[in-house]
Amino acid sequence: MTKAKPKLRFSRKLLAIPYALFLAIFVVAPLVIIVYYAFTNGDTGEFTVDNFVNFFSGTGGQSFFESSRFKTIVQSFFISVMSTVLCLAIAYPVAYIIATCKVKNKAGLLLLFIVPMWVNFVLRINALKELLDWIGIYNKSDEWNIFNTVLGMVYDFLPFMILPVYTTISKIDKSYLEAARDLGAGGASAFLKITLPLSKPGIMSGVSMVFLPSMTNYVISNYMTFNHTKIIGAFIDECFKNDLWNLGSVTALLLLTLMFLITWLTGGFDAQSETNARGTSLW
Amino acid sequence: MKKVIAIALAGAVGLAGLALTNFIGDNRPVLKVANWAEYIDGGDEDSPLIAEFEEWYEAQTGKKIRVEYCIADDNETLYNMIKMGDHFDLICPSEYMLMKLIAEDRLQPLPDTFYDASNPLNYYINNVSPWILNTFRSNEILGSPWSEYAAGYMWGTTGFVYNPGTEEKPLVKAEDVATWSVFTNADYYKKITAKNNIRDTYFTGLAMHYDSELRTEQEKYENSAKTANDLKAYQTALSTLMNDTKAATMDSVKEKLMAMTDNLYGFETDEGKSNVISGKITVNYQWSGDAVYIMDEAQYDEDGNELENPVYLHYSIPETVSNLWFDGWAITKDCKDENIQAATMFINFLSRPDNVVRNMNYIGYTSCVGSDTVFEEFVLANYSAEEDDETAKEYDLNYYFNSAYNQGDDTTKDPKYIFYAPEDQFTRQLFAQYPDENTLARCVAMQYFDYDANSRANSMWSDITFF
Repeated sequence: MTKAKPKLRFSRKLLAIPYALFLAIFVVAPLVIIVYYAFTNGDTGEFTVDNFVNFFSGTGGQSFFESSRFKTIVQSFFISVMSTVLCLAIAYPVAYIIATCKVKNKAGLLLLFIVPMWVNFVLRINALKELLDWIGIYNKSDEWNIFNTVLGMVYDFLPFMILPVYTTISKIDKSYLEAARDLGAGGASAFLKITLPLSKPGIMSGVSMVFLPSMTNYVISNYMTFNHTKIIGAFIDECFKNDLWNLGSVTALLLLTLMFLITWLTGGFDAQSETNARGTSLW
Repeated sequence: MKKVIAIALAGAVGLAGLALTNFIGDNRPVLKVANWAEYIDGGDEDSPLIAEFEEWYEAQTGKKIRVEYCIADDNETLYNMIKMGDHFDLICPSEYMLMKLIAEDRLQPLPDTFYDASNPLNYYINNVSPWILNTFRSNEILGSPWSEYAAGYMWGTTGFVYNPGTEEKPLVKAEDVATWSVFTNADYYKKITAKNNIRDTYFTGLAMHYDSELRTEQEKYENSAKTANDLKAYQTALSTLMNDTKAATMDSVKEKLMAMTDNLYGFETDEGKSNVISGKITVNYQWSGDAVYIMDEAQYDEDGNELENPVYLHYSIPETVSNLWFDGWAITKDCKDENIQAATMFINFLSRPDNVVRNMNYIGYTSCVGSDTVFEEFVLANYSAEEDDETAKEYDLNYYFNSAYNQGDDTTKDPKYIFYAPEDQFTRQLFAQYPDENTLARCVAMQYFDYDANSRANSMWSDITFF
């Protein structure tokens, strides 16, 4: 056995190569390209920070904070927050019930929530759109458009919230709860003091999996609102479509920074939450 | 059961592998062609025309060729693909993208042999419509005519597909969709759509902004003798107005567009088709080829029989100005010398009149080829009136099919190109595919935006589309 050990280590390192390659080609390289375009002039290709200056200076005599660009960011942020909160509000009770119920076939129950993901999401969004049209709230007003966008995001991203939350709750050691009961805690306070804090890593991981895509998934907002409600992803797409790669790259880079900040502020990089969430952050 | 599945899977993998080796073992030289989706008879890469071309090419030259046929979503995607290093031999961009690619030195001129009319295999030059030939020769980019780089494939105008309704329940008045102000007309509140792209919408805004200037120019032309020179002067004037991207103009255009957005149902690319058929909207700003598709779709079933409840949609081109567009074949700088012959022969093969008719029947757009075969087998076959149709009126297509015709000179007209068409076709499919000469006089092409104008247009667009 002792002989086999170094060999095993060696092969483990080898196992990381595919992922490292993947990372280099699909994560690092595009990032480098984005940074390159963010700091060069689109016409001459020279180094410049003008793209950032342009991004933050308003258009047509308006300041940045009055510009449609800023409003788009605020709007995406609002949609994102709303979608995340709603997803959590729906997903947590569901996950909690499945994790704690006495049914034998929990996997089967869980499957009910995952099966919709097997249908292509554009199809599902289209179906939802037709449904809203039939009810009569599709493309009615700006307020309804925002509502419909949030609805589409929640519809699409709900499983991404249910799964990590379910995994953490089901992994909570039952003896903690029993101890709490023994020491006189009621159901509610046991939940608030034991289950909720211990399921935090699952919540965080669910939040990041819903929040980030709902800032940028413009396919949903475009379909759900007849291209009315604009989110930051749609703006980036337009930049690249219209041969303004530099402005698009700047926006993408700023969005990335914003996401990094949010993750950092919510403790996404904490060593502690890392250990707690081990195995759950990837469900 | 699992075993069966496993065997089936293994078989599938094996077959895929076989197919792959077959593919690799194919050592024919490759001609790489990029085109739009559903833009050739029979669909895309499996179009029978492609296989027929490969055979035809071998029969003519004794050499083998394999066409690798790629689909690009739109001009911007095609441009990004080329910019990112995708190599194509032959591409089919629209006129403004052609201009941009020429300006960026990404295309090579068509060889002189391509325009040699004495070679009977040069179907393009021998069959192209005289009107198209003239347009491609008189429109210039950086001092050289379009024809130097591009051979026309399909062309069209932009206008409104509208639902006039029925006698009991009229919906859209023809005079309303004759002007660009229909976009701000409260009668069509949330019943009208615009195009979800900068260029088409900017054109709309310019047309509203320059309404009185456009009418002045039109009056001047109407009062002239309408000779070729008068037409040229008129179109130059329109072209100057409709290609104005000065910052001040763009600001006023933005105002116009902002004022119209509230009236719109929305900006669309494809959704408008089904919405105007279903009646959710009644006016849809549309490209002429798609307009034909929509009108057919609302009227006929898949087999070409009239539907039980057909809707008769019409097409209108605004009376002051409209956008004229072309898709043209061009050879890129990436095309190696040994492939140029194959590339030009591909263009010629698609310009062979029988293939043109097949393409037009499938796609619904209007081909740049205007030979007698096309006139007889497509125009007359589809649009000539029944003998007992009393409403039928004369429709004159001399400008498009008669190469002896001189603009403004009726004596050069050939009666063979004047035929009787049902009255409704004057504002329906026939009109969308082959507008009359007078209507086309007011249609102009739009140039590409330079870097500066493009940046400003993009930020204008963000402001407009943010509700």
